Amino acid sequence: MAGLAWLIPLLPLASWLYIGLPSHRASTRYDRVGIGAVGIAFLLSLGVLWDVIRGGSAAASFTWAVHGSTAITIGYQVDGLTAVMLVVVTLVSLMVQVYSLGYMHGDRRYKRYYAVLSLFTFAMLGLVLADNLLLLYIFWELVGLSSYLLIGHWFEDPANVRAANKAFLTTRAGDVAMFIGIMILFSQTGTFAFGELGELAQAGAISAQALALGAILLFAGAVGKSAQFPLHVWLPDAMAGPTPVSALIHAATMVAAGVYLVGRAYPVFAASPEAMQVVAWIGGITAIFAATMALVQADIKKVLAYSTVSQLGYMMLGLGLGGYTAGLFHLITHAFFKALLFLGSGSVIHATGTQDMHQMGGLIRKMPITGWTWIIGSAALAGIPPLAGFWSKDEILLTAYYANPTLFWIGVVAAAMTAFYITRATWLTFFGAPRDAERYAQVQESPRVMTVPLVILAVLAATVGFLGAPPLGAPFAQLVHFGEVHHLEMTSVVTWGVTAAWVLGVLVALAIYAGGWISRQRIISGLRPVYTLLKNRYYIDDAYDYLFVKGSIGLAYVVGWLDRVVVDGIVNGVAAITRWFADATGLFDREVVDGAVNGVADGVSVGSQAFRRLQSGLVQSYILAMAVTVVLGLAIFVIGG
Amino acid sequence: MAVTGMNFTLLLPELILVATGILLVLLDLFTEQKRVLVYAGLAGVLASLLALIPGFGTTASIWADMIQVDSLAGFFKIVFLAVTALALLVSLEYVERRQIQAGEFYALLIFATVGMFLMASSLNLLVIYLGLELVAIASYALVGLLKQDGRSVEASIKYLLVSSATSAVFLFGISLVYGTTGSLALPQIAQALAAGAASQPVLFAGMLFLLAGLAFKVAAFPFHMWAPDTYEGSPTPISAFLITGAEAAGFAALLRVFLVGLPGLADAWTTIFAALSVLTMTYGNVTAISQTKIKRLMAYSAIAQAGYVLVGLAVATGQGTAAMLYYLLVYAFMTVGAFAVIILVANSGAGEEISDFRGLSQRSPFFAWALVIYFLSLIGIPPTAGFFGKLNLFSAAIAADMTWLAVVMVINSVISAPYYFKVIRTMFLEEAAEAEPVRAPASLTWATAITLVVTILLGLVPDQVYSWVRLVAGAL
Repeated sequence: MAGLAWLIPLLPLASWLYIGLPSHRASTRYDRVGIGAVGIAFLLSLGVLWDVIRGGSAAASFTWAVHGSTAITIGYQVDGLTAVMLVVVTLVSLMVQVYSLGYMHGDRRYKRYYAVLSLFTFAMLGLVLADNLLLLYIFWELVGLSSYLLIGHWFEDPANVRAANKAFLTTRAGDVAMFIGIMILFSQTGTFAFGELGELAQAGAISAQALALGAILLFAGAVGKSAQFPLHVWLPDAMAGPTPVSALIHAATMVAAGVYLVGRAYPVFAASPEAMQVVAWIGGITAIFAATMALVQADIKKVLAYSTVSQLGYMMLGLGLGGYTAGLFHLITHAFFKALLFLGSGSVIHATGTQDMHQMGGLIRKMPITGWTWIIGSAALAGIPPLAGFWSKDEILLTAYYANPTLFWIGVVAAAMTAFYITRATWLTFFGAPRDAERYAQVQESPRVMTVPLVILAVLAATVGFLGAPPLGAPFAQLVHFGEVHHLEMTSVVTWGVTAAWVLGVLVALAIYAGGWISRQRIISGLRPVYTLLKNRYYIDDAYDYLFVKGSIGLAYVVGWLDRVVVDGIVNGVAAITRWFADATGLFDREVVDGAVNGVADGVSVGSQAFRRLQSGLVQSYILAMAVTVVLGLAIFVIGG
Repeated sequence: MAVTGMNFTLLLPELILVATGILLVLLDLFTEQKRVLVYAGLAGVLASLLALIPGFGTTASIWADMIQVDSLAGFFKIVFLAVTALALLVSLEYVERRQIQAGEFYALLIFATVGMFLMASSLNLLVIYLGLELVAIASYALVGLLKQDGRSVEASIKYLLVSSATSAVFLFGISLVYGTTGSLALPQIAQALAAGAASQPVLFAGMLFLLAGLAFKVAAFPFHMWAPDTYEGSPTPISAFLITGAEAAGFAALLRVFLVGLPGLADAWTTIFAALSVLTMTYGNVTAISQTKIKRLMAYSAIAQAGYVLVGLAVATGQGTAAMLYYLLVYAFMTVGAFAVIILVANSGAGEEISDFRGLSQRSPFFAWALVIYFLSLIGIPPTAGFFGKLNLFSAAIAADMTWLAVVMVINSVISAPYYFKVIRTMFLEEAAEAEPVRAPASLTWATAITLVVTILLGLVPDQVYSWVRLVAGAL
């Protein structure tokens, strides 16, 4: 079965080609093609996973090009991590596509939507299967492209187009560094393949500096894709896309690709303590930093977006501190409960027509299925036992406790914040009195195609954590591990720390929003500067806007100005100083240009027009710029010897 | 010597082209069916290509050492013939619609190709200059053939003026080099340099002047200023022809002059080329971002691409030369392909603004997707040919211990992504004003299909071609 893994991405590829082909038939069957393809892909993935659990594996590669003396190979490989990821990606994609039947019903670009979802699924599966950095990079860009297309799905609104551009450009910034990192590793080893790279790195065949530099640059790509600090700014804006897209791409799969990359290239990272430190600290900082911003959001999707950034930070934190299994396990559990939460928020948005939680309230009475599945997802995110998030977060914090106490406490505080903001969101949305009676009156539970995926994901969010539960022998660790499988001793500090974190977070949130014992206004006014800072996202977006967007526009102006003013200015300046030169060019103009224009141009009017434009001095300035360059070059060589 | 040197077999490709050019002028007088000229031109190009076969793999100096037949010349001749054939194909419809005098148009195109042949296949500075002028004079007329269009006339005159000035500089450079080394033949110049003529400032000046003359040809910053005006104003097929063919010819001459003739001054010129390369690619990419006209965008894109190719000269290694050759080949196909789509859009009645590409994905999905592939290749996204081309240049820079240049290259290719994506977005995300499908003539479909296949194949299976250019570069 594992040998058939290469078939899995081809199914959504075929579906993309089929849906994407131009056709004049007014058919609405496109959705079924997409769902059918990813459904079969899911069944195949289950087969592959089953095979891998029983000890199977597969790999194949062929030579793409011989480059100098080294052969560049590309191919695929199937191991425990790949198999698990295949199942997660196809399952979430299946759920999202079924859910979209209801959510996107009647959309004016319904066909395009399903086409791009198939394209994305293909690219993501290809990324997971790739056995080398180069192929991974290709799919990496392809998922970025589909993300760009889907964020801008409703491009009538310029804000959505801006969000799509921002996402694309911000992640590209990481990709540049990543590409340079890939090339550094390639220049050191002559291979792109993960297997060989890992072996060479572990054997110490790469100099420590090159290895650290290569790994950190590689990680920069992951920072962009997984929205880690300081490139996290694009993800909250990416919520401009349709909500099912946010669930699939911006919560469960694509943003996890950065984490997956670190996991896939783990032998390279593990061989460089510096790189591991960077990964751990960036992860820890992101975890707490994004959690603080999630505290104050009014938009339900923005809460989830910052939460996603924060949880991805946890994964990086785990990986960076040597918790290979823990970090990747959190990737899996998070995929399920965060997809659930996003789809739940979509259901709410679908029903109420708003994303502002302050206009919601009391919805659980009208939307019981959405409400209760949301609560399960929230509890999993908050890390309440025995739901999925508890087991995976516990493992990460346990790793941190032994490896780096500072980061451990950062993680605990972030966990408390997580419990707080998700409880807050739950209460504002589903409980209390309806704050917008008009909206509330029209609310009804979403159709079955939307609620069934919610229920399925809720069951998974509740149970999938047991795969990593130490009391049950942690079967996940048997499948996905780096080096020997080892279990860390649970200590009471971690147990109590984690428990206190979520209990405190939930209680404080309830005290403020449910009980009203603590006045919200008092907190806000008491902490006004902090609140403003958080509301404005630490002004990072503004700073980037100022530095890069305004900066490059400014640069374009400067270049344009150089073209117009400086070059012209040189002409005028030189002409003023050297009267003779001005006369000469004047003569040139009158005699040569005039004659040439009249000779060549067909008709006087055209000729004079061309002449007028020439008169602006442009051609002289072109020639003069060249002359000045040559003379300057000469001067430099003569003086410099 | 004179008689044994007159080897007509090896000169046959050039002779066939000249004959074809004359034939086209004559044919034009006797037929109203102007597409016959295209077919005749294509036949001539094909014949010339076949005539290359006997001389393939041989290295010979013929005609009193004026003409050099070797693998580098062979490589470039194939590139020129491919570009010319594609230019003929994309011109067919364009020439008919714009009522350009067909005989002059096609004949001049062929004569310009002969000029490119001379630029690539001589080790003598004067013959290289002769080729340069032949290309330039044919180009002045070609650029200005849209006589009703003021922009075309303006473009032609600007090109003429700037080109004449640089020709003068180039000639001056030749005379300075001749004065210090006593020879016009590049191998002899190299010998004289090795024998100790190197330190003379006069020779530096000569080198600098030669460099300026050829940098103009490849539109390197700051010798590029004519390029956007000229490429915008000239008939679009001619823009495609000059931007690929004439530029490749410029690089061929650069390779000959600097690697064969002036290796003794390599310390100096590698630095200059590195600086030119960085300036050219950065300037081209930054300026391209703010363009609203597709041909100006392609012009600045071409400037940036020339900057990438210059990396090969900056490293001055065999690997660098091979990477240059590979990139020039790839560049010719992907750029002519992109121009084929631009011509299609212009022919369909829309203009040459980027906004005229709105909704092309619905009006003509094949051409829209083709343009996407060309652009991905121009950005250098795998697995297209452009990626492999950039990878080669990149590795050459790293191998030559110029990692910083490689880094600048990568950063530049990222800067370039937005302006290409702007066009892609316009095609796919914006609705067309009129939704009816675009009718594509067979000639444009063929040109696009061929360039598309080559762009994809050179990315997917680059091996054979890469080992060939390695051989060619090694023989230089």
